Amino acid sequence: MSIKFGNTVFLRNGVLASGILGVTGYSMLKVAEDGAGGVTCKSISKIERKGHPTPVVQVFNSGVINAVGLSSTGVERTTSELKILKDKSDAVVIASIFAGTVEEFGETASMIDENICDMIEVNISCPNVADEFGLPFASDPKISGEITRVAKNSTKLPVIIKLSPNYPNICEVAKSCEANGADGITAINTLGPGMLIDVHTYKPKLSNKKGGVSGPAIFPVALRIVYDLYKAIKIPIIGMGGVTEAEDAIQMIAAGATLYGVGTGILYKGTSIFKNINAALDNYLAEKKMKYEELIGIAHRI
Amino acid sequence: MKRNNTGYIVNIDNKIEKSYKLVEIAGNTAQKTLYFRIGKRDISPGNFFMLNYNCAQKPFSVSGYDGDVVGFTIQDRGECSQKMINAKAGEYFGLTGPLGNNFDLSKSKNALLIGGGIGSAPIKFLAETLVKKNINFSAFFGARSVDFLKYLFDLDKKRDRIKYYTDDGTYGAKGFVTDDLDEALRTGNFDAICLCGPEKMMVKAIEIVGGRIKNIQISMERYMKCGVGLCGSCVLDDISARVCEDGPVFSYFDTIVNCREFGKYHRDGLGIIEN
Repeated sequence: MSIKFGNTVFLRNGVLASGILGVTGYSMLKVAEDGAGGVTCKSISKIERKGHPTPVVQVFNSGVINAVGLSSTGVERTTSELKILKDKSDAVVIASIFAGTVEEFGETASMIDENICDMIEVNISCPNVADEFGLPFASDPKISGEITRVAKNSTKLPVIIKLSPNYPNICEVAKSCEANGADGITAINTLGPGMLIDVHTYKPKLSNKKGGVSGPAIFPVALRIVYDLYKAIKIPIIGMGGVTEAEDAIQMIAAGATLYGVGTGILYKGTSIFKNINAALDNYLAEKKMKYEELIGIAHRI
Repeated sequence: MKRNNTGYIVNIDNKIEKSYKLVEIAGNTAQKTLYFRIGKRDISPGNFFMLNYNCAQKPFSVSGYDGDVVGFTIQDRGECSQKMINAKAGEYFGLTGPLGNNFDLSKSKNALLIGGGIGSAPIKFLAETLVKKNINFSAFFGARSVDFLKYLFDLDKKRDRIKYYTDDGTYGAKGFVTDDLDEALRTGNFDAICLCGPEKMMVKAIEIVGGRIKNIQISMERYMKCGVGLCGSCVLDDISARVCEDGPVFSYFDTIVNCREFGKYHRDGLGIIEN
């Protein structure tokens, strides 16, 4: 099965979410070999950047909270890792980028090698250093649109924007990105921030105290947002957030996602989660005598 | 690790951090062993835990477990381990684990265990387990000086098959843990080798073994951010294996022989290659 996402062809319909197993080339390659049709690297900045000290990841009953803190080896080093993925797999190579200012998003997008990467995902959930309160770009539809335009003008690659679920105006943000030329939307980034406290020391379990929530706990929120976005915009959506089994992926696609994404699901099912979901999805469509394209957004047509 | 027949992990309880009181801290200035009463758990030699103390977190291999109390031997190797070895009994640590796989000597009748530096900690636990099961083994332990070996002296002293090596000759033979390996292999009738320690030592040991023993198991160490298989910091080049989830114990001839970085390089916390 191959799926068109805008003008980009995915040979398999699952995408590895940014931030999971996305540091080294061979790590990403393993996920592609285990069935991901698209692989997104951990978000990269122009130059090397340190994240938060450990502990940065904590598991709880129904998911994970993390505050890795946007650590990055910089565009150059990550490009050499992405080249391994490009050379050895047929997966769509997605470079996730982040920056501190609107202009820097453009500079970073222009540094992404168009021969190695197939698509740029723009992570707008990072803090805007120019904002008085350091609010994330994703909270502001106008700035999110500006970032989209600047990124689009800096590369020939398709540009997709990864949205944050933490602002009620997410559909406005998506519309603004679409109006400024975005080729697609990834939804959602982590929910929160959330927190976990040790019951003996009463200290937060993350060094950063708070962190983004992922995993099964956020699935219904992610699904509702994909459903709302499908009505609000025409550009395609990668639906992610708590997908851990085939029924989750089917729901995402029925709500309007063209592709499904998995990140934390790997904690529960290993990297073969893609292979297993894809096989179950094929069976499901065969049983329903349905084409994949017919399933996309079907919940809106019933 | 429990998996059902499709390879799905069905139990994530071991990946959720719980805090335990440090019941005892023993040792000297070189290294300390920290003990926690964790109760009855499924813990095997080679397994590790993420230890979180005052918001400093690192992975440590289990150096002993008696079915109730688990021990971790920690050497001062930086800010985090320094904080931990200065902890006081009665303080709480966050423990995530047991994580990772374990040494498997179920098919071995006579194994040779080799530990170098702080890599001797999981080898000590393995030796203790073999003593309990009444399985034959020999063990070589190497360290800088006697102070770095003392925690190993709890091992059954009647065993005449344990040899110690120190760089400065303060205990056992002066020299390296690999010095007598060739001779031991010629006379020892070993069917398996388990290794943990500096990679240069492990490379040297494997070189001396040549093809003489096929069952070589090595415990790998890499920078880990999460310890639960998600961040990708500890993935080994070429073989795409996560040290935390697919290891830390690997068969040399099945996997590590194809690992480009073994004995050559590793990555720092950001993912930048260091030699």
